[in-house]
Amino acid sequence: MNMTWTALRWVWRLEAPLFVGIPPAGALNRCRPYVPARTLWGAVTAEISRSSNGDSFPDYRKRGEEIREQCRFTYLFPAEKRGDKVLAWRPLFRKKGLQWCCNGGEEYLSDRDFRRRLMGSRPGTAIAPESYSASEGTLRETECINPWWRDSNCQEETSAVLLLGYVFLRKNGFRSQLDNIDTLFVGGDTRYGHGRISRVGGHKEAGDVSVFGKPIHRDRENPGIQSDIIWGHALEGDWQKKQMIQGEQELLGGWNQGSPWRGKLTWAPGTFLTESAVWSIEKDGYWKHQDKNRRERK
Amino acid sequence: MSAEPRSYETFSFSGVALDPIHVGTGGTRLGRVDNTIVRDPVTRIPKIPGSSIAGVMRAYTAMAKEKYPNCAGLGQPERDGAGGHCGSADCPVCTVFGFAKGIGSSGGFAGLAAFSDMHVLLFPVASQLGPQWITCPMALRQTGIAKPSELGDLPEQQVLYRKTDGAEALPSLNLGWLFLQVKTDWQPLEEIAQKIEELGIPGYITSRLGVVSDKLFTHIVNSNLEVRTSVAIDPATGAAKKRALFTYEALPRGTVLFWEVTCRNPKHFKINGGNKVEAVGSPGGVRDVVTKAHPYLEHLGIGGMGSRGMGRLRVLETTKPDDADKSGKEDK
Repeated sequence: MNMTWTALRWVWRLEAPLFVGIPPAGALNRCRPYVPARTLWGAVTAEISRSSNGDSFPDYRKRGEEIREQCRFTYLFPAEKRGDKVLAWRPLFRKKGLQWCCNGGEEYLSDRDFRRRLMGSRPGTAIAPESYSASEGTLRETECINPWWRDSNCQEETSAVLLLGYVFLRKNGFRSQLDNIDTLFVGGDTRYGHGRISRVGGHKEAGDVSVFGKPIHRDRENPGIQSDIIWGHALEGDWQKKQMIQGEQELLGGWNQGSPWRGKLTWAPGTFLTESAVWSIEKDGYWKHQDKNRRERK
Repeated sequence: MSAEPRSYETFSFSGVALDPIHVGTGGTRLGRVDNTIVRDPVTRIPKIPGSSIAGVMRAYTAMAKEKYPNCAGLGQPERDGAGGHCGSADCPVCTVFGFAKGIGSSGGFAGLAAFSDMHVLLFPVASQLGPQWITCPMALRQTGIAKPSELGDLPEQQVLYRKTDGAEALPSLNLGWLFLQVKTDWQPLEEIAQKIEELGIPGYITSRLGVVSDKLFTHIVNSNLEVRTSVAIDPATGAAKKRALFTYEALPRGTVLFWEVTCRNPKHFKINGGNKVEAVGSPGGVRDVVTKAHPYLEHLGIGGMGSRGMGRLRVLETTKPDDADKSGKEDK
């Protein structure tokens, strides 16, 4: 069968702390423990636009639209290498609240324990140049993903934090440009050295035709994932009236180039459903429920 | 090597602490000392955050370019609109380090230079043979001296590996309170020592090079930081003031630090609603602006306690642009 979408699995290693912000809590700049698809799209757009444009000013908007059309990204989730395997930690809402699972559901950590292993924070303050002392009201703490996992018992060797995710390419478009990217700058505070990630090995096609262990649909206008757990931000809709849902909701928003990006109410990653459904990955990186009776066809 | 144009270039720098360096955590802690320094949250090895470097470099570059104090600091203007970052396309400080506002409008610019954290590459420790400079595989991998895939763990974890030449034939050596067996049969060490020398690190340091395991390195560093005790003097009595005794720690003099500056191509950015960056024309030009701060770093220092003899750092080597190909476009 001639498939519309090729699914590639990619693995990145953190070369520096990574900061992907969410609204702050007081003086704490909070960080997401994963990289959203839209953040990744922005980073890939910036890198491809610049590296393919020599010394001229790139048309970021045009290249960004092309990438939105031709590529779809899953979220990147923290992962660790065990032997030859790279295992991703993914969120899952259970009766006890948000948990993180790994190794095909054989290992679970509470959100608190997971964040303790993965994340750290750093204090900072601006220095007033006229007095050469801390500027009033600027002391803050910034949460970030560490480049190294904390071990659970402080006895074992630390291991590098990896990020694992998938990218879908329409008719394998942009493959060579993606293959050329070895280093990306993702998230915020990049001028402080944050967000530098480097690719581990080459892009591999998802050989078992699954994404995070879930079957995928590659022959539609938008790539689809069949899953009972949402590993992106899923748009609200009528579908939620028909099933039991465990999860939390989040209003997403942000900026496009020069204008606000109107956010939507979504179900957050880790939301769990009683029935498996097909989710398409939209241009903005949202997951959208595909009604069984009205699935999109090419 | 890929022939594709680069969107950025990364330049490596190393420096030797001329004084103890104290970059504090902003508060007091219960523990060995009152005022602790910033550490990596996982390895517990002290470091200097990129945000600290960026701020200091900006201030010193502004001094060098006679743009101090307006183009240094947070850059917020006074209530009457005076002062603050100039945000001009031809300002080397505002274009390289970013600014918080546009001219006559809102918005800003993130800046062309990105500073990594400063990591400890070589740490000086007292021994019966005088000071030894210690490192570990993790520190070497972080600097790019050795690629992660090429440099594995040491053959033995509780051993100090030294070079054969110039090293006195001692079966064991103390590093502070740790007494370790010495071995000279770790093959990569010769090549590593050569690469460290290429960074411009003086021979008196490289001749006393030792490598220990990642785990031991953490203990050696944290057991041999400089710890000072201070007390406020009551001017009325000339004696120590009650309850004013405090301790603080610092990276000791002689510590070799390593950091990277990633410089973006100015041609890929526009500021103030569409103006081209005029102050610099290439990633190499961005680096040249940043290096203007280095002499100031050697005299005015980085971190706190600058009035107590702390903070000075001598930058050793500026990697030439042609040698600094770490742009992520390596051959596959």
